Amino acid sequence: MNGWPLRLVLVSIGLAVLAWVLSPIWLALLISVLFYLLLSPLVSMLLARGASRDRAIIMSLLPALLILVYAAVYSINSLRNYLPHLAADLEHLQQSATLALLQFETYLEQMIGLRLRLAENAQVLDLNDILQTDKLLESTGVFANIAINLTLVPPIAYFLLRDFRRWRDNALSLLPNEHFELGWLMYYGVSTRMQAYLRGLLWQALILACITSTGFWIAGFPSPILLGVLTGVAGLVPYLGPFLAMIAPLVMLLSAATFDPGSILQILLVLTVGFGFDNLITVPFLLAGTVNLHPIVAMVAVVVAGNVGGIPAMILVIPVLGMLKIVLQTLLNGLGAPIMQRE
Amino acid sequence: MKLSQPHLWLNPFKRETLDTQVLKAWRATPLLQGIRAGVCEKLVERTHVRQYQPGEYVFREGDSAVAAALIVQGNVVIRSDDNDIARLGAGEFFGEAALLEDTPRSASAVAEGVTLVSLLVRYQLEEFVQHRPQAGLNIMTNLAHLLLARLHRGNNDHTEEKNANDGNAAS
Repeated sequence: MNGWPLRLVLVSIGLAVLAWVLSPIWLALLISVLFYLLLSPLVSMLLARGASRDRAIIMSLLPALLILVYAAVYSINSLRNYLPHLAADLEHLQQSATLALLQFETYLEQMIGLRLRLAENAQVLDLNDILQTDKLLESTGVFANIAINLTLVPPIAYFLLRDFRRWRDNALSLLPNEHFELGWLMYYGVSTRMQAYLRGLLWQALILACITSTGFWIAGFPSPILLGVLTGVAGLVPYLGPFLAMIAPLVMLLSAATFDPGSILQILLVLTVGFGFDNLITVPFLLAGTVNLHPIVAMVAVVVAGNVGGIPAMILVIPVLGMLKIVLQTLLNGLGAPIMQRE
Repeated sequence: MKLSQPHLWLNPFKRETLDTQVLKAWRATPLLQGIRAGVCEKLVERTHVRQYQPGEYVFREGDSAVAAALIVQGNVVIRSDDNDIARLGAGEFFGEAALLEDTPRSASAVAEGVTLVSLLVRYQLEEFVQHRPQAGLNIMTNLAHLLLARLHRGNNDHTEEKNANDGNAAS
C-alpha cells in the first residue's frame, strides 16, 4: 500500500482551503474560467494562422470583455433605477400573491373541502422586512464587491489564456515518477470531459436565453432580455430548470399593476418552445455523453446541492460529480494493476 | 524546461548544460528529423526531464501509456515477463507508440543506474501541433516511418526465428 488514499484526502483538504481563501473573488474566477473555456479554441486557431500569442489572446478577449463591460454597466444602471421602486413592488407582489392564494384556497375548499390557510401565512410574511430593501439601498458593499470582481476578470482571463498550460505542466511535473503518466491520463480525462460539458452549458444558456428573450419580446413582456437571461441561467440547473425558469416571469406578472391570467399561458408557451428546443436539439448535440451520470444520481445530487449551496451549487454539482467519477475510475484502473504486479 | 541560451560569460568553457544536452538528444531522434531548430526548441521546452534511481521503473508492462521517452543519461533495460529484451543507452528513444494512442505498455522499462529520462507527453504534442500544422505533419510522418521500420524489423526477426526453427526441425 503506497498511501495514495491519504494523499488524495490531503490534496482534497488543500483544495478546499484554497477554495475558501479564494471565495471573495469566486465571481471573477468563474467568469475568467468561462472566458478561458470559450476563447481558448479561438486563440489556438489564431495561433495556427501565425498570430503571436499576445495578439491572439487580445484579439479573442477584447470583444468578450467589451460585451461584459456593456452588460455590467447596463445591469448596474437598471438596478440603480429600479431599486427605489423595489419596496412598492414587493408590497404589490405580496398583495397579488395573497389574493391568488385566497382564490386557489376557495376553489380547493369548494371542490374537495380542504382548507390550507396559505393566504393567511403569506399575509404574515413581510417581504420588505425579509429582503431589507432600505438596507439594500444604503449598502454599497455588494456592488463594490461585484465591481472589484469584474475589474479582476480581464487580467485573470488574460493570464489564464497565456499561462494556464505552463502552470499545468509545472503542477504535473511535481508528481512522483511512479504516477507521472497516470496523473496526465487523469488530467486529460477530466479536462476534456469538463471542458466539453462547461462549453456545452454555456452554449445551452445562450441559446435558451436568445429563444426565450425573443418569445417574451413577441408576447410583449417588459424587460424581455432580462427574463431571457434569467431563463437561460435557470436552464443550466438540470431537471429543475424549467420550474425555476417560471419564477421570474411569474413574479413579474404578479407585481404588475393589472393581473392578466392569459399571460400565464404566454409564459408557458415561451418556456415550452425554449425548453423543447433545449431538450430536443441543444442537449443531445452539445451535452450528450459528456458526463455519464445515472439520472437518479444526478437528480438527487441537484436537490441536495440546492439545499446546501443554492443555484450555483445546483449548476456545478453535475460537473463536479462527473469529475470525481473520472478521477476514481482512473485511480482504480491505473493503480489496481501495478499494485497486483508488485505483490 | 527552460531552453533560453545562457549568457556567454556564465559559460566560459562552453560546457553543455542539461537543457542543451536534452535539446541536442531530441533533435538527433528520428522523430524530429527535418524539423526546424526553432520548432524543435519549442517542443523540447515542453518535455519533462525526470531522474530514476537504479532499479526504478520508468514504466511497467500493462500500464496506460501517454509518453514517449528519451534517455539523456544512464541506461534503461527493456523487460518483458522477467526477460531482458534490450539495453538502451543515452540518446535512445523508446515508447513512441504512446504518442499515437492509449495502448498498454508492451514491456517494462527499468533504470539500470541513476538515469535521466526526458518524457514527451502525447497530449502536449497534440496541443503543440495544433498551433503548427506543418511541423505536426512532419512529426507524425516521422513517427509513422519510425513505427513502420520497427514493424519491419519485428517481422524480419520473426521470419528469421521461424526459419531457424524450421531448419532445426528438418535436421
